[in-house]
Amino acid sequence: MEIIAFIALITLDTAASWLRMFAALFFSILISIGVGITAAVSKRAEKIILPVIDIFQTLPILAFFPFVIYIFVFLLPGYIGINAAVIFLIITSMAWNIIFGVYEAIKVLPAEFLELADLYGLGFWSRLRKIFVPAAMPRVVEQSVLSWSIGLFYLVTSEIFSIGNSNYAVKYGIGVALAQLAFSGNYLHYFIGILVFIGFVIATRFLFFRPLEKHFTRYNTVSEEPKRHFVIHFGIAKAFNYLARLRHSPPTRLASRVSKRNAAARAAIKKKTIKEERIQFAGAKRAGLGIAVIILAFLAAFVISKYPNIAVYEYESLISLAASFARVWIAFAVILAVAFPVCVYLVFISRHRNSYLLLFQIIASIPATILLPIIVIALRGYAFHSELTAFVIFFLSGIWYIIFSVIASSASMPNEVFEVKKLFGLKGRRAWKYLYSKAMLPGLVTGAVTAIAAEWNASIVAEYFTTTGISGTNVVSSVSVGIGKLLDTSLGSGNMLLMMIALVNLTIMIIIVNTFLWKRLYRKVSNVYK
Amino acid sequence: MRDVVLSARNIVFSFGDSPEQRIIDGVSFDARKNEFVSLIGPSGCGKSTLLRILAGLIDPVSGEVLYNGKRLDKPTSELSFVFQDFALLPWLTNIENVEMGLDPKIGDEEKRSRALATLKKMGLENVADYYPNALSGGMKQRVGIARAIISNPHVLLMDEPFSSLDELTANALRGDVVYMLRNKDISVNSVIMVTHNVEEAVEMSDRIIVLTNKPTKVKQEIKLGMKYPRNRHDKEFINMVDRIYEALTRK
Repeated sequence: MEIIAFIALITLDTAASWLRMFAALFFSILISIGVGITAAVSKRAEKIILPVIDIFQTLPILAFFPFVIYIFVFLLPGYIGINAAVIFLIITSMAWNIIFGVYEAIKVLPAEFLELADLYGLGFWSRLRKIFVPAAMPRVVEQSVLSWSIGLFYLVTSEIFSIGNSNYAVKYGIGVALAQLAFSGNYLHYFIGILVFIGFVIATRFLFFRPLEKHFTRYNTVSEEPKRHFVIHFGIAKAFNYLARLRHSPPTRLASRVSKRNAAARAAIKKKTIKEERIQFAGAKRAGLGIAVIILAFLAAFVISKYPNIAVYEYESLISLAASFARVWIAFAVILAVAFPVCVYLVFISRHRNSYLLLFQIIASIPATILLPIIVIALRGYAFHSELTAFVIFFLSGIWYIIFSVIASSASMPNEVFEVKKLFGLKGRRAWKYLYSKAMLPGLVTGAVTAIAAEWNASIVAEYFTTTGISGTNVVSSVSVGIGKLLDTSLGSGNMLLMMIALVNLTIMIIIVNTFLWKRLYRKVSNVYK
Repeated sequence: MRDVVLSARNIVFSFGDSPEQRIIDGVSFDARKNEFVSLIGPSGCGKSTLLRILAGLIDPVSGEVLYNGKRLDKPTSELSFVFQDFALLPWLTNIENVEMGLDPKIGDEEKRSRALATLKKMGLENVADYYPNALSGGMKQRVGIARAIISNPHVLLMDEPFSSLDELTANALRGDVVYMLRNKDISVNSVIMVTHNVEEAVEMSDRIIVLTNKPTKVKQEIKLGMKYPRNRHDKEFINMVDRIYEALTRK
């Protein structure tokens, strides 16, 4: 009897969290349609929006909006303010990839469709209603599936947050409930809570997203029905893949994917301006860069002389960043070591790939953050327990991206590959040499980008965790040095300058790695495999 | 001489400012009432761009398009367009795609009944509520033509309308289009078609304008006096095809 009452209660909690999620998704989609379409149709807007969003979606966004949350909590009374802040935080994790989805969908739209709008004199709203929005919707739904799982990851941490010395938590919410259960030692209830949570995840997938997918893809494929089960699996996996690919596709690549004819039609209109811009751009860029460096140097010298703290903060940020960098990449190495054999098995050997995939997707639907309390408790008392906690969270945050991305890209692998394997009897070491290590590389690279990004996103949760917001007893898991911890503690203690400096350092590092490692690697791989 | 309906006057189009970058270099020609004109030239020679300029979709760098003597600088419902790859919106049903061709001010019921009537004319009333991707290429282009003729335009601009279809389907559709035009089934009385298929041009046209490549200029105009329907095995037909080929390949 008591169990049933508990299940009812935890269901209520989850429902409350889900309401927040749906609200966040709704607003994310509205924002995405506006911003994505603007970026796709206006060259000028594109230049600003794309790079900004590219950076935003790689950063631990939770750290980004203390001021906005501050405003929410203090402008709106009590729980309304807290809920608004939570929803806002979830939006900041959901919106980016939906924006990219909308942008790409509009960008690859055949030029004829826009000519149609001109021919038949469609006005602004008709264009939106008849062409842009329906063109974007399939990708919106597809990306929403991905956004949902990203949102779930942040849901838990968003429901408990702190500003300055004050801590806030929502009243009803699965994140708060599970954390409370875990720390009060109520493990049976905690696990029941997780089961209810998984039930909600699966129900959402089948009762909400699946019908939407069917609705919005009905005009794209004639006979999709027999492949029903695949679609569920690859729906998520494909989304991961898209995300990674997008991050590496500058607009020009997108344009080249549009059929040659359309490109010619577009070029007829745009080529002139592009060419002129390019010439001016190269010269201006070099001069601008030189001037920028000089100005920055002066500015830095001035600021440091005025605020000596900054040099100290910068030093602290760099040390923290180095420590986190090591953590993230060690976890990534372990992820690769585990995921690679699993992928080989799933792609080339197993006959039950789809059953495994279904199992993985259910496991992957449990966000690492919801396991955080129990991981912290389980590892408490061991040496380096905080390091271990961080490692486990990094590992769980990243591994699924690799697995799903490899599986998704292997779906596009030509059937001949498997025939060659059979024909030449490739097994064991030869199979590794000629097949496994090569065939999965494209999926591996795209998966790796997202996995690393997910790890960085998780750093703010993985490296520092405290329960002051929800209970009297203070349980803390905190690594000695780390950028995630630095962001958390500086935000917690109200040291905004330190937080900003840490964030800038993290951003610069991410941009450098993206430019010099991932973009090059991706280009290399796609040259060979295309 | 019959009345001139659509007239291109010294059309120039280019990507850059210098004369070498010109895609279209001073093209002039007329299309008259009850006339089927084909623009023929090698692939990638700017024919499609020229047709889009005639439709008012792209502005020429210089020169002008006159419709019934008046300057045309934006699309009008009097001129209609048929796309090479159909350009049907996949999220609209076939009948909704056809309804797009009508004035938006017309009421929904009238739109639907007119669209249905036009689809019927094209032999497609049974697939009205299907989505385009459930149709074969030939049927898609019939929907495309239905959308183009529903607003009772006087001029039809066709951009390689049969080149995405297999030969058998294309032949049947060509025959249907010629039949509709000859029998005044539709309001269209002038057609300008871009093509690179010589037999197709000879089968359908009253006049063929041969264009050069890079930049596009008018090389030669050839008038065809043959009766419809034309038979591809007639001596006259074969001679005409040879003549066009010769005009195309001559330096």
